[in-house]
Amino acid sequence: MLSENEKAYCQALMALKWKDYRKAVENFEKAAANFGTNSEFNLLYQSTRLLMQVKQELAGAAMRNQSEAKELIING
Amino acid sequence: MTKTESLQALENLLESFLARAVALKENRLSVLSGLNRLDDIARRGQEFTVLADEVGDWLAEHVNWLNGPAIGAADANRLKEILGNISEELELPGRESKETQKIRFEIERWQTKLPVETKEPAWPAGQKIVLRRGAEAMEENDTGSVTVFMEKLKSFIGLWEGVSAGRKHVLSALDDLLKSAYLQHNQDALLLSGFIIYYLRQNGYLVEPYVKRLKAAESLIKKGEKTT
Repeated sequence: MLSENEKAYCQALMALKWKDYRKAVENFEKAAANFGTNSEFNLLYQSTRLLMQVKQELAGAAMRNQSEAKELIING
Repeated sequence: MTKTESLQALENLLESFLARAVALKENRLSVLSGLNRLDDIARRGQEFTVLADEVGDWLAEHVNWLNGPAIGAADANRLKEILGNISEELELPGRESKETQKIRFEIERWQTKLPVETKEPAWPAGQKIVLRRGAEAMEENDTGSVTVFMEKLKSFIGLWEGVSAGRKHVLSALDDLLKSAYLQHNQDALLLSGFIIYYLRQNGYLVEPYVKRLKAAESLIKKGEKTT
């Protein structure tokens, strides 16, 4: 039988395949207890985490631009 | 390049890297995913007729595993174990039916056809092995190649594991990396430091002193390259 950690790693890779990065990070976190010393695991895990942070930062910037544009329209 | 443009470039780079890394593992991923699904079916503890149906569907869907090199010996052993558990489940008293019997026969067929993990040594005891290799050739070091970049990322992980061991904060490990870049002219330490500084900056850390040290190390390494 597969361990919960192995299942999580597998699901993380599947999530990466479908570009569901949030789900991938969640599953990488679950698998970390068992694969934390595996360099390939860490490479994929940390790259996905970094990508999530970049996406968050970009989303924040887009929100700020939108509200600035709204203000500009409202205040002329 | 604006901050947003830099972030978008980094986003594209990471997405492309992850897509390629997963594509490289496509075969293995398909095997793991298949094993995972069968394991889920076996664990669900459902009505035995439903179990037989689902296992039957799974076996039909993955029958190509018996005909090609898709599955390695280690995975085959895990699969045999899961199939063995399912077979035992279907063998319990009161569960005999044409359908369950058919599935158990099919499982038996799989068990015999799947690759076997050999435990024998690859060569007889006492036999001498002489390893030979050809003349050394200069390796093409195309830094734009995905494989070379992947290897570089892997070496960064190794480097990071070394400097961060026993430390609680990224900054103290970064300090060591910058020292190594400055004093030992370590190019990998320099690149990794740049990556970490960018990461810290995105998370609101004041990184100016580290940027200065990075630039100093960079110019020192460049000078060293020019003199050699």
